[in-house]
Amino acid sequence: MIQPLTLINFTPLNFGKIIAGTTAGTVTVDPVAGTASATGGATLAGGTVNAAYFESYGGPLQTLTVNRGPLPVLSDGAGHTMAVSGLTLDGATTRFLGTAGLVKLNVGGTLNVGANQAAGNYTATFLIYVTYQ
Amino acid sequence: MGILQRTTYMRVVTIIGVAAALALGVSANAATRTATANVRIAIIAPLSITKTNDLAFGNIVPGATAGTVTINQATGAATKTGGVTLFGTANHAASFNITGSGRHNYVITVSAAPTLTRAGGTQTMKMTALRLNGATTRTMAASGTATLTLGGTLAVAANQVAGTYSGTFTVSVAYP
Repeated sequence: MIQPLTLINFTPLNFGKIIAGTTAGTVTVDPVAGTASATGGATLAGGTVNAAYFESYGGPLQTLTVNRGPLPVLSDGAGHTMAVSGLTLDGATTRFLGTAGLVKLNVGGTLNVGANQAAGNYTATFLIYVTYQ
Repeated sequence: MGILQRTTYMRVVTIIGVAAALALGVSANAATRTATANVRIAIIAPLSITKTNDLAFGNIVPGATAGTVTINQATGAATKTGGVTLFGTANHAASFNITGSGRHNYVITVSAAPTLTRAGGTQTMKMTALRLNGATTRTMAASGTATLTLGGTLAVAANQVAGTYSGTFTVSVAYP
């Protein structure tokens, strides 16, 4: 009998503060370093930056596969949106639960910032799945 | 009788994976678990600055001795020293409107005090000081708008040649 599997999210994916420019750009959070970088017309402006952090507990020595739900679209609640173009994991998508039965996951990603993106706080949610192989 | 012992070593191999793109998953079976995470970002408005008024020293009558004219950076009022006479009310401070993200700090940079050159001639008058109406680091009001004004001091030579003199300076704003 295999121990039940659990997955818990502890930290959101925070892209920090960005100054929108007159041209489009991107912001990327690296899941290993937990830091942000920007391209194009987007400029980093501090704030809280970190990868999303999850822990999965399951049967020792089992192997998990990690997948995601649909890529999120962030909204400011006033009709302005920004799409996440990809979510990245801090390693392979196949993880070994080991003798402790624990897998730690950090998820980063890349966000598309529009030209003259409206100022405001944007949020969304995304799903991570873990499955016993 | 001896006890035969055999030691077995288990090698632990750690695989360090390269960061991988996550693929869209199919919630396949009862052995799948999901968790929801929030994603957050704050977009802050870029800074912009536009001039609403030039720095005007007004009308000056030079004298037989050198002097100066000063425009107060807060009020735009003109005062003089030395062999200079002021008349009229054409003097005023330079003013700029700034927009940006409310409650954020921003830094003001002012270029060097310029030299003014007479239109249609080569005569000059140097500004010995270009003054901002306060600190160079400010906090934007919640409204996201602000104004700043500048004055300065102009050195007028004895018998400065009459004419219209002008020069330029620049003001920049940036998030720290």
